[in-house]
Amino acid sequence: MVNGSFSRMRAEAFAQRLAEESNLDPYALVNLAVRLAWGRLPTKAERKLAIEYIGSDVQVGSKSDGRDRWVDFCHVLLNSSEFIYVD
Amino acid sequence: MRSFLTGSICVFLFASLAVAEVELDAEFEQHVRPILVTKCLKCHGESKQEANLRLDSREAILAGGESGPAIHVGDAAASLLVQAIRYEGLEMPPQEPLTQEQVARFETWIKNGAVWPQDHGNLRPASTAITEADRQWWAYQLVESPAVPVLNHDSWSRNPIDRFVLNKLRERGMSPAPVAEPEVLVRRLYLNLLGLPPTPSQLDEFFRDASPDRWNRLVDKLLSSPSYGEHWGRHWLDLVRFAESDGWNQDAYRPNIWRYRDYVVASFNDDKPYPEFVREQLAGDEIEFHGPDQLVATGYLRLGIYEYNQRNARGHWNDILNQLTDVTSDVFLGMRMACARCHDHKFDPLLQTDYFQLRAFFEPLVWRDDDIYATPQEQREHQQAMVPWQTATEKIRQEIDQLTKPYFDRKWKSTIDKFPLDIQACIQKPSEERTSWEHQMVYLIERQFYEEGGGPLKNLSDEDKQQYEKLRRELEKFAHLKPKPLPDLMTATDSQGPISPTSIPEKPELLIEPGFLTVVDLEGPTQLEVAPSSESFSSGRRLALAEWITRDDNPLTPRVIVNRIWQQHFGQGIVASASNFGRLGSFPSHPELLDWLTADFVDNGWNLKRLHRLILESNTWRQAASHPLATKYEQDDPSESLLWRAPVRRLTAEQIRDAMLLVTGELQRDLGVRAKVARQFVARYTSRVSGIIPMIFCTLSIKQTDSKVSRNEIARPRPYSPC
Amino acid sequence: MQPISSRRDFLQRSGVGFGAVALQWLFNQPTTHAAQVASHAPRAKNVIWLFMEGGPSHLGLVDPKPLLNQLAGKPLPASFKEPITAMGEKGSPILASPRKWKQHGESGLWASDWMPHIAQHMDDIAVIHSCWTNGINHSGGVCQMNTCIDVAGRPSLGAWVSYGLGTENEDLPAFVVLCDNSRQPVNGVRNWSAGFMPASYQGVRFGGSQSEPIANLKSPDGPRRQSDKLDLLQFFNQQHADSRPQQSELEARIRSYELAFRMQSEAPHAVDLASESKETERLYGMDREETSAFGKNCLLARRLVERGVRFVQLYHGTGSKWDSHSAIEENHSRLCRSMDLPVAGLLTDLKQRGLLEDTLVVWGGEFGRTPMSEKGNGRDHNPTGFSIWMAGGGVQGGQTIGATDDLGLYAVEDRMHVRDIHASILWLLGLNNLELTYDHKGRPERPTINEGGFNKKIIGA
Repeated sequence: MVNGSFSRMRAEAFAQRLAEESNLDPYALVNLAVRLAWGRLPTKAERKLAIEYIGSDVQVGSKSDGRDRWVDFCHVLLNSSEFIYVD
Repeated sequence: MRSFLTGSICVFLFASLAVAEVELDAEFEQHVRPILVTKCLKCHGESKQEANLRLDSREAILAGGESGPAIHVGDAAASLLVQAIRYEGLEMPPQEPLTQEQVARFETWIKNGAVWPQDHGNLRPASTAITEADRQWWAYQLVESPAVPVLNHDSWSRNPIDRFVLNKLRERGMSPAPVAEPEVLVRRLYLNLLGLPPTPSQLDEFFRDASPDRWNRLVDKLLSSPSYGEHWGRHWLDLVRFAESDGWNQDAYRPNIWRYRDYVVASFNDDKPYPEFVREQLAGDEIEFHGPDQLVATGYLRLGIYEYNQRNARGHWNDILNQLTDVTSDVFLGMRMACARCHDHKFDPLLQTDYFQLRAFFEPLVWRDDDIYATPQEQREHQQAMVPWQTATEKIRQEIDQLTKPYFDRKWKSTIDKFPLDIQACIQKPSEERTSWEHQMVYLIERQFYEEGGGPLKNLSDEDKQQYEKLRRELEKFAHLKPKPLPDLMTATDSQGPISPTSIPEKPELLIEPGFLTVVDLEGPTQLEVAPSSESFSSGRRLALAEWITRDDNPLTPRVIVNRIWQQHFGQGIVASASNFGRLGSFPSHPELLDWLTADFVDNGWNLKRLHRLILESNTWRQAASHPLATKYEQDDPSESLLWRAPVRRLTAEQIRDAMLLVTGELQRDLGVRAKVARQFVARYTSRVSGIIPMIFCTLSIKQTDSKVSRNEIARPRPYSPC
Repeated sequence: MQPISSRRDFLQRSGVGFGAVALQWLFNQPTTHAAQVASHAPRAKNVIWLFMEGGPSHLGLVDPKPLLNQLAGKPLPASFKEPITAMGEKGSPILASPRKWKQHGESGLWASDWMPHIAQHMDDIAVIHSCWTNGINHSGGVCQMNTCIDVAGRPSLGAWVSYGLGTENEDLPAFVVLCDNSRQPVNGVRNWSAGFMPASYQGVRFGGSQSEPIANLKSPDGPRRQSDKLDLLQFFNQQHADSRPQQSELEARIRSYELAFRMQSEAPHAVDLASESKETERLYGMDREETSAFGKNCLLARRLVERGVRFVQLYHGTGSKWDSHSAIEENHSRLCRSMDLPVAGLLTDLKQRGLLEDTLVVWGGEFGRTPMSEKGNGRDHNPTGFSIWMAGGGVQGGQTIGATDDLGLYAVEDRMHVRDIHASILWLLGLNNLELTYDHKGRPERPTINEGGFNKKIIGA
């Protein structure tokens, strides 16, 4: 799945959806993304790591070193066990 | 292929349920039992017990014969049986010794405790008689509602399900897991009932609701969501091997079968009583007409694999009927009749004649492509509306017919010529003289005429083509007079003409009449043909079958569907082998609970939503996935069949796909013909049957079909497996 | 839970950075070991199956029938039973065969001028003349030749072999499929399906593009970005698994990512032909346009079996190219030119490297072709009698097994159904077709559906 085109396209659409929430700061966006994917809010540690990964000042839709961190973050969420399992 | 290879990360390592017991069972089934059956039972089985020795059950082997016990559990060398097969003293089997390999298998089996899987019981001897012992199997017993256990100090149970489950847990000194966190439960509920995760606003809505019955209200709300039918309908479509394409290599699109899909979805959403649902699928053409949807339902009879270039028409139709018989017995009755196609079932009291008796209900069946999705009134109106166009275009159409006739004739001849002579003979007979089998052959030939090589008009000469197109253009000028055509359907009904006899291939002289499973002996009259509605010229055989299947006192049908619903909620059924209630399947973990649920289900009108509510309000279902004593319990109950916690389950490929689209806001929700590219309804027949997952699902997940991993197993169509 | 330390901990445990790819067979490696049910000493360890897709004419390659030319233009004699053929060519006249035939080697086996290079190996080859199948059209025929039955849904032979024997190289799949063009064979991926068995036994198709022999091996992300993403993913997954310690499947899912790393280093090496000499390339015909595609696959096949891949299936004429309802002369001449030299090169190479002893080479299509003509200069499908040949892997070369009738229409002597062919291949690998079982829904399933047997003549017994 990591390299599969379907989930890559979904990750892009996911980030696009987040980009439409222009009034939200990165913390709120991470909350929203995690809640959409996992049905719960992230823990502090999860959010911290996510923000570290994305960069606290990186806007959705902007690229650095040719990569869009938000798309990658969404891609990770869609690949995560918590998204793919239900308990 | 690209996406096929990429699909991977979600293919998981299934933790091997390397339970010793499972392996020993497998060891016995794979190596010991086959030798016993083929080499020993003829003389040491039910019919013959030479030297007073029987080898068809563990008890009998331990009891032994004239020379004493046949084996000493744990000590192979001291076991008479081993000495005999080593040709030390006794020489067994007398004709030819077993191979060293086979002897070693026996030795290992004895050393490892001579495990004989409990629920299989004795091997059935090769005999056509159904014995009293056969009838004693649990699945053939009438369902009687057992008393709900009364428990002391029980603050946990919310309904009878819980009391049955808790009772069993207490018997084993176990206790259930605590109730899961609300947000876990809500996500689980959404995924179970709708196949979709909850959105943030749906979560908010639930958590804002402070009323004490907010859970039951959420259950009700989701049960009335259209997505409920889409999701649960899909489980059904998987069972009946629904696909929007024909299978085989060409795998041609089935233009109108989506209406069957939508019929199934609507039936779940409308909470159609199960007997009606069964009756419409098996015999929608034979019951009193109340609307075209009942004809749509006979799409069930159209799900067999088809390919236009099968010149072996006899074999092709045979395959279609066999598959229909197999699916019908699996899906509705939980009986693996397919094993009895070539011989009496080795373990279950299912006779080869039972198989062909069941098949005989479908003997006169023929597929139809001329039914229309309209009421009679609408059809009459349409005919009326056609008159002006017909009158205005009569001459043009005659000219077209004249022009194309030679081409039709030529194509007709070349189509027929490709078939064996006996098949050609069918079409040379006048229609009114044909038997049902001959009609079936003619149907297959006619489809090839239209479908192969682009149809009859593909080879028009240049000149004729010009003329043809000119005439078509003229015809086009009258298009404004022509009413919109009524939608076509894919249906089935009985052919006219005498019904061809059903027989077993190796015993053509033995004619088989329709009949029900011999071992299931219901009280009162059973009809083998039920007079169909007055409009129908059908035999009424399938209606009779449907009536029998859906009798309130049929011990199989309601248990099977109740167990299937349970299976989808808990990851495994009360009977883990949901399509096999026979001896090779599993014994129910909670037989009383299954019967209580079944009796309740039948008494309340075979109502599925009611059953869902019952399950979903139970604390059994609402348990958390972790249990403080899990490490111990896993040893006591490795299959977790006692229900002491909720299973963690991987979403199905379809759920993952839909969940992704939901999260991104891309999910398309419309049904109808366009749904073929939207949501989860994609052509899946070939893929499912072959075990290769279609491209899109490859990227998501691959369902494991390892039968040992039963807890993640979900009912799925079974590939062809003759015995 | 201490996320950061747990993450560090996790990265230490894994010991490696994370690779880019993940092929599905990898994910099942540790738990889906082979059934290990060898029933007797194996003669062969690997199989290379050269699948001539579309149905090559046995009548023009290895089964000479002089009567064809004598009866040319006449109808099938009445003494022959009416065959059911795909295109209904039962009444068409017999078609002559213009082939020149010669006997070869010490054994004096016949081969036509369509296969001058393979003909040099006849002493290593056992030709089975008496094959038959139920599959009457391509879909059914190819399905049956792969899965033993003409109805889709059962595991392919390669899947059974990888289930039965596993792979000798954990970093490569046990069952690899190579096609000589970018098309799909008839039935597509179903031909190498694992049916009801776990997907890990399924064949993996290599190829499809020149630049990337294994699809998606390279990540579009580039290594750095990929590894960052995987770190984050593994952190989330580890947390999820840690809070559900009772679910070993979750932990296994994490391990699966580690395994992908090994694949990254081994697989490209296996398919990298740069280290092969010019001489080897010539041997396989890689220096000639008409033979380069299939020659490359034959060489890849050798490299794969060298590395322990159990079952390599090579499609030649992928997409039913051998199907020759008309103009069989042109069709078969062209296809033989692209097939003959590479196959001979493969046999030579396997032999000179001592690999032929352990490697069973099987050559054949899904059926043969009729003695009757079609469209004047072609031949219809013949499922009732056709030839395959085998070499290496314990096969007694220089012999023929069975026979068809005088026109090559029906197999008449020592008939071998596809089930017997499969049973024999399994036997050579040390597997007994009736003892190798897979429990599916309470029923022991067998690779040849409870029938079929080993034909001892193959090993000269």
